[in-house]
Parts: sequence; structure tokens; C-alpha cells
Amino acid sequence: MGLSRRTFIKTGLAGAALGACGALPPVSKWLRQTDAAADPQEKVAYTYHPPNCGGRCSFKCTVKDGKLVKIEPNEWPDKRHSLICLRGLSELERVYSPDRIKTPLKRVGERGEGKFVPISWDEALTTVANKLKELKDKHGGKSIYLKASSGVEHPMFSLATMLGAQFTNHAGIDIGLSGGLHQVTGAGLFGPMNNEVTDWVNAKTILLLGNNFLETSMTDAQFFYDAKEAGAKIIAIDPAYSTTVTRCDQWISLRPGTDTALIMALINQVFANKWYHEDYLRKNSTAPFLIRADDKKLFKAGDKYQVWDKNSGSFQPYDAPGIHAELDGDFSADGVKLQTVFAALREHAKDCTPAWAAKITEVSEQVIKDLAKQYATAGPAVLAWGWGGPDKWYHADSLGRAGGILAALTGNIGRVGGGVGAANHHLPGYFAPFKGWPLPKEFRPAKPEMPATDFPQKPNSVRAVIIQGNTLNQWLANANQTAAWLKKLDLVVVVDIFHNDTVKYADLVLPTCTNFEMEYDYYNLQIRRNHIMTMQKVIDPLFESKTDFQIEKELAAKLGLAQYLPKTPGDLISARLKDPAPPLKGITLETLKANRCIQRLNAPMEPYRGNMNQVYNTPTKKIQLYSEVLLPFGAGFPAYEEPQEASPQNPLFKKYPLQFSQAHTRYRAHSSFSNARWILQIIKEPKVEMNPKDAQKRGLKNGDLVEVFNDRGKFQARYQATPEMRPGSIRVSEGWWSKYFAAGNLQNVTNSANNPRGYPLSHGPVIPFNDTLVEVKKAGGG
Amino acid sequence: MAKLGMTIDLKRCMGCHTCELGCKMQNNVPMGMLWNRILTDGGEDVDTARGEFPNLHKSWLPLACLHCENAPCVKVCPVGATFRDKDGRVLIDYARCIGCRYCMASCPYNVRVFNWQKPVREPGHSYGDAAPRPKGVMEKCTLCVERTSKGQEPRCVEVCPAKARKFGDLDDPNSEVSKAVRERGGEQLLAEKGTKPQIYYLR
Ligand code: SF4
Ligand code: SF4
Ligand code: SF4
Ligand code: SF4
Repeated sequence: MGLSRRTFIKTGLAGAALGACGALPPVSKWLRQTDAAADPQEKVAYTYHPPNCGGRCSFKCTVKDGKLVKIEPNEWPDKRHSLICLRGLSELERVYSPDRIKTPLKRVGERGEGKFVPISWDEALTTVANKLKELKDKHGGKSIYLKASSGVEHPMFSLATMLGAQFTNHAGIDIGLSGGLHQVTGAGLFGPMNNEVTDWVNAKTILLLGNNFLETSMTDAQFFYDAKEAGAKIIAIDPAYSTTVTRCDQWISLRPGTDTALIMALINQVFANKWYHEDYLRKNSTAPFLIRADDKKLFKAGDKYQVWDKNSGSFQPYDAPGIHAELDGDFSADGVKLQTVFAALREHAKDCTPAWAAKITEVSEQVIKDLAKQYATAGPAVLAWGWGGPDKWYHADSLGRAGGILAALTGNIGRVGGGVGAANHHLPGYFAPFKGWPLPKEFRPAKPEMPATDFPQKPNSVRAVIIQGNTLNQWLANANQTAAWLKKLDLVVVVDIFHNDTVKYADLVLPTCTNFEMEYDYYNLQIRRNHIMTMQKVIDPLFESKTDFQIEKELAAKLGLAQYLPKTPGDLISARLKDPAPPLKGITLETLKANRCIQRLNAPMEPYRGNMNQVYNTPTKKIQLYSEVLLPFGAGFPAYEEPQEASPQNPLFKKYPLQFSQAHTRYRAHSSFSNARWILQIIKEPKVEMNPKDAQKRGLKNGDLVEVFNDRGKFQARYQATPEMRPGSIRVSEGWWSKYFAAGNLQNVTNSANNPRGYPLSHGPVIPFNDTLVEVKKAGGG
Repeated sequence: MAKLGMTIDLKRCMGCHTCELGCKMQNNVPMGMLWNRILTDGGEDVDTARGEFPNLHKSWLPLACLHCENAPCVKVCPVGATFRDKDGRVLIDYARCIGCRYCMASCPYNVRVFNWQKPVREPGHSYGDAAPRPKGVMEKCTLCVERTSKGQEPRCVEVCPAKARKFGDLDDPNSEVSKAVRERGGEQLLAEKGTKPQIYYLR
């Protein structure tokens, strides 16, 4: 094997230098005293891991003398899923992190300054409750806003309901394509693939669109390799040479933000070569529906969409039995010209030729043609995206729609080995929605006034925010704008485990437990990979921390509302399991306890494939190729638009010629694990990843301290020579807390513009984090 | 009696470092030390590719002690602290180790790590199954002796999400590892040194 001894020595030395990783914190007075030698107690507990990586791995945890000493994959009833990744393993250290917030804290300096003093739980909760009561009385419940972040197991939804407060539990991250796909197939939040990843082994072609599967979905990697070994051709469309690209059969690098042009060209080729599936489209989609020439709306008689029935030679309701809907052609009714959606789409895509797309995407015409042929004719084909990349662009909804349409034209939805959507979510499959805790009818949450991403930008009623997790920094772009908003509020409460960036802005900080600690025996439920899991207590709460459940309950008690809440999380679990959904039949907390906290749902063992009955979660129950919802925005069909900011056509480009993206990596799940010391041994600080050619132009050497800046703000970190990056774009992996940057924070520069078209979409506007232009220069003193 | 070994499929390995941290957890490895590291051949920084855009190549090489059949580290150890056990694992008797580091110099793969200072563990208590090691001794991959003596797989094999690693008896021609070495042409690292590693890489 061709590795030189020098390589080993070099890495060996680098390894040795890690010795400076930081010393052990002083033994805290809060850690329980145990005498290991005198009473070695060992027990095993089962739980699952809830950061928002998309998965929920089930763990077997060993506790010795009250301390967590081992985390192993639990035995799943389906062997293939007994998995863990480096993040799950690193919890062993993270639970005991010196970054833990140990007691409730009260702000003493200016808001945002980060100066606090410890206070008692009673003082903290009394202060919060009194303030909330006052705000509700004076300004109504809607003046309070609650938001739970990534990985929070017990969002305080009941408290929000009882306060009549605004509550959202999702927002603009990684939803851009999903909002668009929802218009086409009715896909849910995050637009999960309708076929499970375990079905990829039946695919012949797999197109990964800006999807770094092998980093974001490590615990599904085996299914990627199984598909590859079974002969699927896996093609990565990604500006940069990602980890996943290294293991694909083909890599197509395109100009960032132009994916829609590429997909439109594929649609163009499908029409040009008649690769579409006529019968499939006639039966399962709105392709035969008719667009009116006058107002561009779909033609209706009464409230029924009409199609032209070839059998009777007349207009008929689209769902009338025994009809043969005409797919193509021009018609007229009452003097109004009508054209089928199919024909209109063909016309719409007529100019989206490979030559046209080649200019925009910088991918060669031939590559586009070959790609179209491969996808459309060597099926079944998967079109998979998700978790970042093209999702985080201003016009991302169009890409989600175009992708859905391409899959529909080629009959790849509701087909073994096919599918379209986000590949990284382990949710799809046999599923049961859990109900919340029933509260008396008089309690109702306020309707959210606007998507959460607008709060810092538009006038609104919010005067107090209660945040669970590192939400404010992780999920709002343009951090200086966020900070200005926070400074105007009456009250900021942060419930979290660690001293992260959101905590800095709090008036009151309430220390919560990690998911391994709790006051109760069982805490929550999740369904992933067709299994249901419950979370068992592993260790007692460390320091003075309390679970979110407990905090909600104690806050409610101060407000005189505790009697409406479940007494224990176990009560909540049992109530949820009473759901009549067939997959849950026979599953109770007792059976879960008896089965190491994990059970297979009542579901067949074969991979779940959605829409096999060709019924869709859309108003027509069909695949909707045309969107009336987006018609007011002139977007009945998706079209390629230049990126809102990161485009050479933007005058700003002269000043800030680099596209900036924040990508997910295996080392974090959003901002969780930023402080995981075990992982920091591998990668100890954020790096500005840039192609050496771009760096050279700026006189930068690998390891230089650089400043990334635009009109919104700036931050500093080290430059890492990254030949993987496409020239013209740079990257800092997402989720790093400010304290790991030499100065500032990556959100200081990011774009927070909301596309008006995003508001009517099911998940609201996406935050165009990656649609951002910056410039980089050497930082002083680097 | 067996010749325990492993195969690592470099076509599957995606450099995820799960085996690295799995090993750390299992073996109570102190901070700043790793028995199992994931190397990239493109550059000094973790995950760096080789080549120039867009002609790039990247591949990872998970590297821990290779449990050489003809181990130089065993030969040079003046006190017999490093030895090859009956199942072919190269182990260290920490009680005997005098910290002379001859073995470190003799190992062509640079996989042994030395406790220069009092080992620091984060969290501050012992974790995993292996007993803590004192300052001033050499340590390295034991093929998870605590697990493999009980018939379990090494931790790095168990946790690899890509299923890139396989473990078994190289003396048994029907074992998964023997078959993989035969069928995929398992390669030994720096074969020319004659150390005969029992960890094979598949490409
Ligand atoms: S981070 Fe995700 S993939 Fe990794 S162990 Fe946790 S749940 Fe599993
Ligand atoms: S766990 Fe497997 S895939 Fe990950 S680095 Fe180790 S060998 Fe490679
Ligand atoms: S790899 Fe190095 S430490 Fe391991 S047996 Fe071979 S020579 Fe000894
Ligand atoms: S076999 Fe065990 S000790 Fe060796 S690298 Fe793997 S996990 Fe570590």
C-alpha cells in the first residue's frame, strides 16, 4: 500500500499535539460523591438519542456508581438499525461538560453582555411567572412567544396553550425544497422521501441533489452502499466535492444556487424525448387538468376541476368514473381557451434546453443530456436531497417543485425503487401521530402572527420570548438584526443545558438536563425507522438541572395551572400510546419497558414505500403539477430564477464576490456537539474552507487567520486550504458557537430575506442562509 | 488458538470517526490520545482531498495497531511487556512496561501512544471496559481484548455505521475475514516491511 512512513509520523505528531486539549474542570461540588471501591453499583438503562440529525438511535447505557460509563447501540428488533455515530458516543463526555449551566441564572449586566449571577429555582420561576402574568394581563397572551429548538424532547406546548401564547416548533432551516414539494405531492414537513432508504437497493439510478448523505445520515450509510453494490448508479449533484461525492459513481459540480435550471433542463429533455409516462400522468396527476388562458386558473365547473374526456367527447369532473382524460391538447369552453397542464408544462419547459441550462449552471450540455437520459430511462430512479445545500436558498421552493414534477413525469413516485424528497429523515414509514395532552377547551394558543423568522424584522406583538435550546443563533440569519430585536424585548428566558450563544441574551437562564438525566423513570416517545422507542432515565439530574417537563410543571404551578398538566411524563406517554393508529396496537409503556424500550411497530418488515396507492396528500389527492396557490406570484409552474443575493448579476457581487454557505457536517447536528470535547479532539475550531486558488488571489496561506465580511457583519476564523470547494464559494460548517471563532459568529453575515412566495407555503419561508455574498481578507495579527 | 484479525473496506469507509470515538469509549482512552485514528491522504488537515478542483480524490485510512504476526514491537521490548497472545493479539502488560518507548520507535505504523503525563479523562471517571493505565506506559489498540475474549466483536467493528469493518479468525478459511481477504485481495500496510499485519485493507 502506497503510504509513506513519513505520512504516519506526521500524523503521529499531529496526534501528540492534541495533548493541549484542555484540562479537567475542578471537581464540582454538585457531582454526587460516590465511593467506587466501597459500593460498585452497575446498572443498565435504555434510551434514544434525540439531536436533530434526522435519526433517533436507540442506546444501551451502562451506569456505574451513578455515572454514565458506556453508550452502546441498543439491540433493535431489526438488526440493521443497531447503530450509533460519533455524536452519540461523544455524549458520554458531553453530559459532564464544564459548559453545563449548573444553577438558574439572572442577568446582571446589559442584555447580551453575558453577565449573570446564580439564583435559586424559586426566585427564577417566581420572576418568570410574575412577568408572564403581567404581560398576559396587559398585552394578551400573544405578547409571549415560545420556541423549542432542535433536539428538545419536551417542548412546552401545554404552557404556551394555557398562556394563550404564540408557539412555533419549526421554522426556516432545511425546509426550502420541502415547501415546494408539498405543493406537488403533499409531502410533510422536511419533505421526507416517500420511499424509505432501505428501498434504495431496488433503484437503478440514485440522484443526490446537494445531499451529503454520508455525513448527515451516517447511520444509513449501509443502505447507500448496499444500493451501490446491488448495481445502482449513484450520481451526486453538488458544487463541492463532498464526502458523499467521494463514494458516488459520478459527480456533477454546478454553480451554487442554480439547481433549478438543471432540473428544468431535465424536464425539458423528458418532453423532448417523450420519456414521460403518459398513462401514469393521466391517472395520477393533474396533467390533464385545464388551464384557462384568461386568468391562468384551472378550469372548473361548479367546484370541480374538469378534464376533457376522450370517451364521451366532453368535459367531465377529473374524478368521474370511467373517463379517459386527454393529456394533451387545446380546448375551449364559453369562449375561454383552455390548455392541459401537461401541454402548458411542455411549453413552459420548452426554452429550458440543455444549452440554456449549461450557461446558467456551468455544467456541460452533454452531461445534462446524459443525466436526463439516465434518470428518465434507467429507472427506477430516486431523486434525493435534504439537510442544507440547495435547501437554504431564497428560491428553493421552485427546486422542490421542479424535482417533484420531474419525478412525476417519469413515474418515479409510488414505485418500488423510486422516490423523491429529503433522504435524511428517518421518519417516513409506518407512522403514528401522537396527540398532545388534552387541555380544557378554554385554553388555546395564539395563532402565530408571522413566521418566526420575521419577528426580528417586522412589527409584531411579541414582548417576551421563552426559548428552549440554542435557537436564536442557530436558526435566525443576520445575527446583528436578531440581537437588535432581542434588546427591545421585555423578557428573554432561555432554557438550556449549556452556555451557548442564545443564553448570552437571556434575562433568566433555567438549566435543563441532558436527555440522559431526569427525575422520572421514563420521559418520552419517538418513532423512527418503523420502531417506537421510549426514553428511560439513565442518571439523576446533574447539578441543579431539571427536565423541561419539570420546569414546565413548576412554572405552571406558579401560574396556578399545574392541575391541568400530566403528573409524570409516564402519564403523557400512556395517553399518547392510546392513539388508535394501527401501528401502535398492543404497544404500551409496559410492553416497551419489557422490550428494552424499543419495539417494532405493527408493520411489515419490507421497506415502506409511500403513495403506492397513488393517493396523495393534496386537495385533489393527485400529484399537482400546477400550483394555483403560487399563481398570484406568477409561479403556476416552477421556473429558474437567479439567486436573490449570491449571483454575479447582483451589483453587490463586485464588492463581495464569494458565495458563503454553512453546511452540515458529521461533527455536529446543528449547534449540538459544538462543545463536545471528544469531537473537538478531531476538529477543534471552525475553518473558513476555500479553494486555494481563491485564497491565493487574496494572499492567504493555509492556517491564516481571516476575516469573512459583508455589509451585515463579520467574523474571524482560520482559513483551511480546501481543494474540494468550487472556486467562487466558501464554506464554514454550521453550528459552531461564537466562542470557537477568533471573533464574531458566522450568522453575522448571513442573509435573512424572506421570499414573499414562501408565506402561503406549508412550512413558511425558508431562510436563505446560503444565498449570501461575502469577501474574505487576512485578519490583522493573524 | 486463533489468529484474530480484521478487514477494513476502504470503499465503504467514509471517514466518519465513529470507530475512533467508539474505541475511545470502550478503552478508557485519555484526552489527547486516540488508539484509532482516521487519516486522509490529501493533506495535514482532517478530511483534506488530494488534487486540484475538479480532479480530486479522497479516501480515509482508519489506523490502529495492526497486530503484526511478525511484530517488531514485540522483538524490541527489553522487558517482555509487549507480547503476542495465544489468539494472535499483540498486547502490553502495563505492569511490566518501563516506558522506554523502543516499541514506539520500532513500529513502522506509528500507532502506539504514550502516557507522558498523568492521563486526563473527560469525563473525570473511568469509562468503557478497559482498566485505566498509569503515567509513563505505552498503550495501543488491544483488539478490544475485554470484548473479544468473550466472543464479542471489537467495538470499532460493532459501531461502524458503514459496515466497513469485519472481524474474525484468519486461521479459519471460512471466516468472513479470510473470505474477504481472499476474494477482495486484502492488502497489508507496508507489506514490504515483513511485519505481516493481521488487519487487512480492502480497496
Ligand atoms: S446523532 Fe443521530 S445518527 Fe448519531 S447517534 Fe445520535 S441519533 Fe444516531
Ligand atoms: S466507523 Fe467505519 S466508516 Fe467510520 S471511519 Fe471508522 S471504519 Fe470508516
Ligand atoms: S502495528 Fe506497530 S504496535 Fe502494532 S503490532 Fe505492529 S509493530 Fe507492534
Ligand atoms: S479493536 Fe478495539 S482497541 Fe482496537 S481500534 Fe478497534 S475499538 Fe480500538
